[in-house]
Amino acid sequence: MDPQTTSLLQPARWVDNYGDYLYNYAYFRVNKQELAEDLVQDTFLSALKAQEGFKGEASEKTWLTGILRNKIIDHYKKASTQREKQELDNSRPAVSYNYFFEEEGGHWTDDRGPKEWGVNAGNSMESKEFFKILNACLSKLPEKWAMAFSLKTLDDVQGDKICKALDISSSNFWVIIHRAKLQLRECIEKNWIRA
Amino acid sequence: MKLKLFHNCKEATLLISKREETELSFAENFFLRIHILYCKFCRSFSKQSRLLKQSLLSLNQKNEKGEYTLNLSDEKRALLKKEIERHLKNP
Repeated sequence: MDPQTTSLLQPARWVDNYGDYLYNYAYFRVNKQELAEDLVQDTFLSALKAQEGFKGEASEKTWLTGILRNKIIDHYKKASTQREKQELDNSRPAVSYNYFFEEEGGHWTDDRGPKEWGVNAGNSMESKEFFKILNACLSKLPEKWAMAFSLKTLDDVQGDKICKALDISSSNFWVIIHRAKLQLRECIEKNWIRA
Repeated sequence: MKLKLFHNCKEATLLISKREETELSFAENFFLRIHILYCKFCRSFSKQSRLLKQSLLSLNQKNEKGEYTLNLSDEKRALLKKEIERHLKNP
């Protein structure tokens, strides 16, 4: 464990020690560069004001991450109430189930069924190229779907918290995750695998 | 689980998504296993779904070289340091 994980906070070193970590953390949950930067900045400012609240039970990094996580959830809450009214003129349309599955029987349609990617399970796709395509594909999803998907996949916010923040019911939640994944998977297949 | 679901990819892929995040019931698990045995598309979907999650998770962390996927720009870094310094001098 590094020395910063003791009860002492060292704000002067936050940017060097945790700046990139927090930035990546935020970025992969909001998928926007500027917003992620702002969230990191807000986190540092809130943390500076809340220093007395740091009891040294968690590491400095964990404590800062917790503050950032709350900022992200707050952002989601705000975004989901603001978007509500704009949902109709959506430039990021939801693809319907019938696009992927036969209306009767619910089978994959032949041309939309997943193709083999030729990537072994156990491997992951970490290249910059994949990152670019993933981002582009995420930004095509309805915003709420992308939010729910990123939060759930990165797996540190409980489902009921996400539902509350995004104002969706828990049964709807799985449907959203599912549809997001269907759409995302196809987008990646089209743009990356066969590229 | 109703019998008609035994042939349904829509249902199976939902369960695959769910399985990654939570535990399935006995019936759900049973249905899914059988379905995946004979459905090539859902087998691929299952693999890719896991791959997607792993990739997102690892993009979010340092790689073997200790690098992050993204770095704060030098300007942003300087700005953040300045803000923090200012606050420390003048809480």
